[in-house]
Amino acid sequence: MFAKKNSKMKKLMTLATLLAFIVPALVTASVVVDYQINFKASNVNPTVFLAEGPNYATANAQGLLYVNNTTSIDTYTAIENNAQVKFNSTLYTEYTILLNVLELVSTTSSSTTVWINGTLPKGVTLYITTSQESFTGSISSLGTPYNLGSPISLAGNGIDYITFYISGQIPSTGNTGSLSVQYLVK
Amino acid sequence: MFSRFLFVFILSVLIFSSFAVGITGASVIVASDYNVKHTNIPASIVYQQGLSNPPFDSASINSQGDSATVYLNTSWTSGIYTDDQGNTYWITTSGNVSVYNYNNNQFYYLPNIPHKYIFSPFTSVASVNYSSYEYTVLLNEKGYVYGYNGNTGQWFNATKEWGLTLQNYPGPWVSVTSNVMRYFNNFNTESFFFVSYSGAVAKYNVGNKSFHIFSTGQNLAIISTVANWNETEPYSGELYGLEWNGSVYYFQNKWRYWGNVFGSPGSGAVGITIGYDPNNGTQNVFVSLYQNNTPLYESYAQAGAPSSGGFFEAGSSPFNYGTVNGITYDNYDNIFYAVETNGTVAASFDLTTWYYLENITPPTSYSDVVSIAWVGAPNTNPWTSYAEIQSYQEPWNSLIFNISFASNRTGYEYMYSDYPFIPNSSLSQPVELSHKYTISVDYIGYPNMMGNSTFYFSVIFTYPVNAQPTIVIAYSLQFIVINHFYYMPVG
Repeated sequence: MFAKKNSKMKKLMTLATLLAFIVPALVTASVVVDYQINFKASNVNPTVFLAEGPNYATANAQGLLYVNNTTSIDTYTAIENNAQVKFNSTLYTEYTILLNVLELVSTTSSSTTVWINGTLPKGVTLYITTSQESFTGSISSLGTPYNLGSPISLAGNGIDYITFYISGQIPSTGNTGSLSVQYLVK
Repeated sequence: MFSRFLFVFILSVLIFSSFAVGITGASVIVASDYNVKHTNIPASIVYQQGLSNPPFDSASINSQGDSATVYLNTSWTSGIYTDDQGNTYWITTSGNVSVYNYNNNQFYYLPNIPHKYIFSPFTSVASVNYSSYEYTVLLNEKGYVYGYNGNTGQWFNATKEWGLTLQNYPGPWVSVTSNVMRYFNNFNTESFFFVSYSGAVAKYNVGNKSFHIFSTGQNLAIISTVANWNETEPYSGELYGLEWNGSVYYFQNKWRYWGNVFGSPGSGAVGITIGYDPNNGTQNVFVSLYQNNTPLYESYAQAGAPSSGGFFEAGSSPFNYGTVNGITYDNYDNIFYAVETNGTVAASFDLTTWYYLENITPPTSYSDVVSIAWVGAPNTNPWTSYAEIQSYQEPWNSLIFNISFASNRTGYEYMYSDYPFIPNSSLSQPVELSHKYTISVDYIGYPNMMGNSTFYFSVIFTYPVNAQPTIVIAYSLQFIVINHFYYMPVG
């Protein structure tokens, strides 16, 4: 009797031990698998993506703009979705304009509808133009600000340019935003 | 079946694209604590108060942040008074005193007031002139009084030497006048009367050197006064006060309402005097408005009557342009005088034909009222900078700004602009940020018109130099130019 009881206890303990190992492993595995699926699926380069623009290097060298996650796609330095975009400014500025520091690239011949989503720090405004933005002495010359989440029509194999306007002195905390791209091939 | 396929396709594209670039998505989850480099561009703009010959109350920078604000006072003619010998005095807020005597056709300036006496704008001037003494006193906004002794030719601190205590009472102190007269000089009664905006009255008797202050507790808005100078007449010794809204009061132990220039409260009444009506010889109260193309207003009732009886427009306008500041009456020569803020003086015997004095107060030039300096981090890449200034409010014609740039680097000293004669954005020159640069802002005040003026001055840096800008950085400084007393609500 005692021996039988002991045997059941052993089975239960074995089962419990197995569960203790398996359950977390399953949970972990589901995250990893989920991640792996996305990772594998994204192994194909996107046809529309954000990239460093013609003036990114200058702005970065001056310490005004930094993007933390990039990768190479073709000849572009692509910016990964949800990468952090950090802004900086100097003391007592009224405003800072970073012209054509990012770009929106299409590598498909089809026109696409694109949404730029995410967040920008308070005081930062994004402008997007089909040709390189220029500063002609007034802020109004920059055109109409882009509202995140609004649809953009991007020409096939086209490039749109992104300019940032920073109002005042951006605080040292809360100076980071993130951007991601969604698109629909027509 | 096809529509279901299409839906799945679109959905997959959307989902797909959302993650497509997230190649190393894990690093997003594990946020790295990266450091942003310090900027290589100008560390800061430093606004400095002007160093050389600042006018009183000038260039006080009240904030430093996204923008800074500087208050600049111009100098304008703020008071006029004629004594009983026919000497007409008019002053600027910075203490320049002009004197004109019609009878002997003399024009001259009093010697410069000591610089240490100039720390608050002078609001008013008055004079007493008797055989044994001759004093011209200037009252400043804070209630300090400085006198010029015509017998010794010396300026003196009247507040100190006469024991005046106006400065201990709430200001601003807006007006000084005296009760002198031509034929009835009385050694014991010749006095200066000082009046604050709220209506406090102080009297200094020059003869017996007594001082008395009446703190009335009344909450008026007096901006100009005149004494009923013929103290041997009925109602003698009364003091009249004028409010910007046109209300006239007389003072007998306290202020009593006498009438309103407009019939009911309006705006723009700026100067009051008592003179002889050129037509019937009665002694009436006259009021000037600050607007040009406006004749004087005259009371129907004589000075000293219980009430004004209303006012009417008398004669023709003394000025066709500019801003009228005040009026006075020369009881010795029977002449009305009116003065503008730019120092132009008009004179008339009959209020219809006006004559003008050519010796008007010259515009005041203030140099280096504010300096703007910046020092950049070591950087061999030059930027381009230019300055621009914009006015959001009239008047444009009151000021000329000179903007000059200087640096400690040879060859970069020249950036200069006469505003508004050089258009915006035309002032540009490469600057290397490893050197210290200073921008000095001078201005010349032409106090032609009262009015609020706000100017925005921006220094804009663009990078790289001589090319389409990649980076634009702007610094802003706001100038608020003051060319009238705040208690005169122009607008």
